[in-house]
Amino acid sequence: MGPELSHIQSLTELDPKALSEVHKAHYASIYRYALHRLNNEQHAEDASSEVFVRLVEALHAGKGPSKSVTGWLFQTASNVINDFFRKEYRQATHPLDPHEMSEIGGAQASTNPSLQDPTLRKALSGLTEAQQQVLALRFSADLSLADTAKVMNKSVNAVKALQFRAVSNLRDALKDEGE
Amino acid sequence: MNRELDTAFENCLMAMDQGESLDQALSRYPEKADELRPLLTLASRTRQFTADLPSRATAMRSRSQMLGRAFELRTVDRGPAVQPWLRWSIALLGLSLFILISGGVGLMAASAQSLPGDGLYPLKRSAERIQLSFTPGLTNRLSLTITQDMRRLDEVLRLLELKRVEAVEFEANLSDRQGSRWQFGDIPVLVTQNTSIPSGLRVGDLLRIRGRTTSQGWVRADSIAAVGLTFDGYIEAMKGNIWVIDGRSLVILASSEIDGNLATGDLVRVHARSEGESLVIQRVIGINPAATPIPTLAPASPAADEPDPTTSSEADQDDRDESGDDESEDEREERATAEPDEDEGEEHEEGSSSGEGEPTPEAEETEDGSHEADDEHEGELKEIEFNGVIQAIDGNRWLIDGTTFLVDEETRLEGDPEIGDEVEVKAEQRQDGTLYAVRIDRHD
Repeated sequence: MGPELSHIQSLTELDPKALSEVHKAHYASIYRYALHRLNNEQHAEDASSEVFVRLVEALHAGKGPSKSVTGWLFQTASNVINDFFRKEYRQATHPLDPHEMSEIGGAQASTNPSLQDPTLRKALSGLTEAQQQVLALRFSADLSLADTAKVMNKSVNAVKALQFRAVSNLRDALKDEGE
Repeated sequence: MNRELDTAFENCLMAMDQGESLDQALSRYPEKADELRPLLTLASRTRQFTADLPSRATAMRSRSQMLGRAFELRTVDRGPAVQPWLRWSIALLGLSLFILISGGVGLMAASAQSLPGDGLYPLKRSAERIQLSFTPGLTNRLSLTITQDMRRLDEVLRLLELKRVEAVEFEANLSDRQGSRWQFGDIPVLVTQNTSIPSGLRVGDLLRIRGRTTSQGWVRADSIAAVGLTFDGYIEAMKGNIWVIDGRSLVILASSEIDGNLATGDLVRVHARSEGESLVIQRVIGINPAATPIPTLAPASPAADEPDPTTSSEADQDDRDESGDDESEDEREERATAEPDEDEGEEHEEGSSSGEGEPTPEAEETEDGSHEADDEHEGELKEIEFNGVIQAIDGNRWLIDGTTFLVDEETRLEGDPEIGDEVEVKAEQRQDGTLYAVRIDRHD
């Protein structure tokens, strides 16, 4: 997870250089994680920026990461994304199912060819939240099994099993879609 | 689902991460290959879901937003962590005690008129420091700092009027430079061989001068250092009196000069000064790339109306060379102050060989502050290497990590560099400070 403890010292002082280093080290993976969950580039950009603003505010309030910056960032990203879905849910006139939640995120057409895989997107949105989380952390954010376990507060073996179940369920969902 | 299969799947993923093909990875588990193959294929497909994202521009926007927020929060911390009424009570108490200790109101009033070298001057400076420490709000404190800096200039001018010899320290913008005679507004400063000067200073730069006033009406500089900085960049955010330009957060004060109607996204040239940890905008000017003349690759020729930032004239170099002989520093100073017209006459005479309007022969400053004869460096280009991110491309002006490089058809571009790419630049710096990119390599 990088040079965590030495960073935290400088981060608490909101040192621009230390903050820039953390941003450079983690922004891309946080963005990809957000994009995986939200299916919308603009929402992913907003969410990942919000994560780093929250980091600065938490550090200023003395409530920033104490051990792992990476873990803190991804847990915050997860909260930001859940807040986003909650907000959308409140604005909706009826309860949303996971497919509709996916539609909210992906309402605006993406210009990125990778995101134009509606079948996969739909299948992913049918997974449980934990399964979506593990695939986003492992395959979009490129976190190691150990780091994913820390972020998800699970054991490495539990994550390994969850990951396998997620991919298996995804395969089944795609079969149902006719692939 | 069994643990063996979970582990086999994970091991195959790791092997593929290391560069193995799907078949190579599966060859470790031939008995499970049929079951693992579709799952690993699907994992690769899922990985592609968000591949090659985000763009550099997206990352830079987020970084600016984060740093802007950090700057806001840092500035909140700078004020005393007490309620305003309590702060003023403490200020009043402190000031009362201070007045009592220093002998009353009369003494304070007298100290306000004191100059460096006077007995009451330390009292004046202490009172200023107390006033500053109890001033609430970042912008108020920065404004007061600038007011106090202006007071230093008035003190120096008064000392020069009185022909007093005192140690002084002040900050001012370099308004003119004629060899060893530099001008800071109304204050003439004499630069001697012993003056410590960094390279790259330009007319307009905000500098800190340490030295002594002389009875001849000059300040003889012991050291000159840059206080502010000048850079080009895009306005990324404008939030109240805090602007983010090129990733830097800058404070706008009432004294800041803002050129025209600027908006987010505009390319600007910023003259800023450091005040503690803050950067205060002195002046911000919009840059119109089309209207801004681009220096050519012809031999360097400093603008006639703007003395070259890093050089002094050959005649002045002669002055300096002479000063290294038996002549004492005071004698040199006397000569410089008493005979400025004569010196200038010599300059014209010696420079006349190149014709009127031709570039003045120059001397180049070395790192240790000494100057070398220019004829040894005539036409020599300083080569530099630079790593950074391309922030903007405006015609043949490329902004890379806040530094502008000129790019023309001679520039070798490797890897099709674009905005947001991290690049290595090899460039030549002309004597007028212009940087010409010779080669730009995109980092993979």
